[in-house]
Amino acid sequence: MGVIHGVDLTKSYGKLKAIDHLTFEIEQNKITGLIGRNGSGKTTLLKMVAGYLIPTSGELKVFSENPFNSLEASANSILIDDTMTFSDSFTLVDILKEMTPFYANWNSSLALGLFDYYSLNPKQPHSNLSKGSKSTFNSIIGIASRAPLTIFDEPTTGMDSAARKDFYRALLKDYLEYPRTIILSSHLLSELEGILEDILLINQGTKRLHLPALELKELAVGLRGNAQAVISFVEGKKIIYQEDFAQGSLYVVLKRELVQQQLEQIRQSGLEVLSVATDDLCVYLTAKTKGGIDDVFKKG
Amino acid sequence: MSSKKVSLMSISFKQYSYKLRAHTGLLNRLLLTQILALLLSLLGTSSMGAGSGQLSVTVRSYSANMVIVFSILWVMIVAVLLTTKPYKQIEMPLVGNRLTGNLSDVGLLMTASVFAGITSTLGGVLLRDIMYFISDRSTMAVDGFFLTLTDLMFGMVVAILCLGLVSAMGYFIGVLVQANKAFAILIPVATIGALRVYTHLGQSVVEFYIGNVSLLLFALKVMITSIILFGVSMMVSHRMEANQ
Repeated sequence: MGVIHGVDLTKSYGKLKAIDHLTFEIEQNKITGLIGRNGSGKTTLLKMVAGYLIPTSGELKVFSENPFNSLEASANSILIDDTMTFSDSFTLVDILKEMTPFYANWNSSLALGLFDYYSLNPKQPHSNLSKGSKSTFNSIIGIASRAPLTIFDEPTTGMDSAARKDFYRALLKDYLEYPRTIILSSHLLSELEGILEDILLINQGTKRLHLPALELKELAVGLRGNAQAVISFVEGKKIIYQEDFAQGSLYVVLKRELVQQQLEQIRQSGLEVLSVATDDLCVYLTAKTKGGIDDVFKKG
Repeated sequence: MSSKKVSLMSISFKQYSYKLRAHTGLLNRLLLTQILALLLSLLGTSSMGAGSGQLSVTVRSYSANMVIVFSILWVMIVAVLLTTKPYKQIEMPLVGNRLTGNLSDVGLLMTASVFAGITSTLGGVLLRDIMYFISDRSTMAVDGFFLTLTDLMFGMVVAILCLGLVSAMGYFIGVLVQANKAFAILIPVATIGALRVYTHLGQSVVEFYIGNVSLLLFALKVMITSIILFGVSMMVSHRMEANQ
């Protein structure tokens, strides 16, 4: 069952379309990764879902309600991002207490447990926290709120590697104990991959693809070897990415289904068949040119 | 789906009590303002002297009006502040919508008005006490010095109503400015312009509210105006996007 439905959703700022006729559906009790490059419209989309922004056109339903200004939708969702502000009258521990009456499923013991684990200073006001600590603290609120729809927008900004791993682990553990719909937006897909069930890849406000994470892993294949040999196999097929190496060697990424039958033949002719990391694949899929940044240098 | 029915009033009240604790700093500022006003009042609001030959008379008046005026300025500033982005942003992590945010602001301003009304009226009593001890009692005019409880209560109610009205005006102006920044220039220009062209306007507006002797009628006028101002503010901010 879908929790969020977007049909032909558009959000424009003047002439710029941050979200451009996007149609998508987020399923209930799944962890979905919203992946996209900087400025691809991730934050705008999440803010519409959270009810902060009004779509310019199209239809958006969260828990079968229009989320903008909806109390019902607000009570069932929470958006965690780095713009969250709290009064300086509150210490960090105060904030955790103050959140309790707002969220019906709030888990106080979990909040305090995580708070102790990260050994943040309980007496500190929120505005004095460092970037990483702020993200860590906000993520505690996100996990402990147990909101039926929990949205994290770039939750790991500024966190060190240990804190990021702990966050993913804590989120996954609590999700297993208390399943709910979670959306994570990030560009660190390689780290997230392990916990994501679905991946929604957007680029320039449009949907690039929306697949289970496992399928995405199998989606593409990379061929590497002698340029002529590679070209002979991929000629006429849609290439997702290509990269030239020295000595006439070529690396090409394309959909696995296009060469599925020929894989054996390809291997026999001395080419390497490589799997493509989802992280890289998402970069290739959202690139403007086939050769990536190399193209810029070739022209000179 | 674990969607639960939520009530507008209960969320508004939760936000109100959250904001009350979140904005204690504003209350501290009121007390500072009032102390400052009280100190200024000790200098005397007016003084006049007359002398002829061997006799000279100096009359010095003291009044705690300054405390009330400063409190009115404070509540105005608080009302405008509440509509600004940094103050609206503290609502973001909470459950709520525009309406609950507005309702909790109104609750907060009413509380602030009552608090400021009581403290500023009591400021007048405090000024009398201080004068009683620091000045030469034999030269003190008794007229108006002793305050009856009825007068004190009356003063308090009037002060609270005035503060409430001013807060509603401040909030309305704040919302208009948030809706369109042009109002930040337009409102002062229009106000000053109107007062210059129609010289009696200011007077007749004041007359409308305090021209009548009946407290009940005054209260009624103030309350209706405040409700209209808050109501329009809510309608204006209803379609505004958060966190632009």
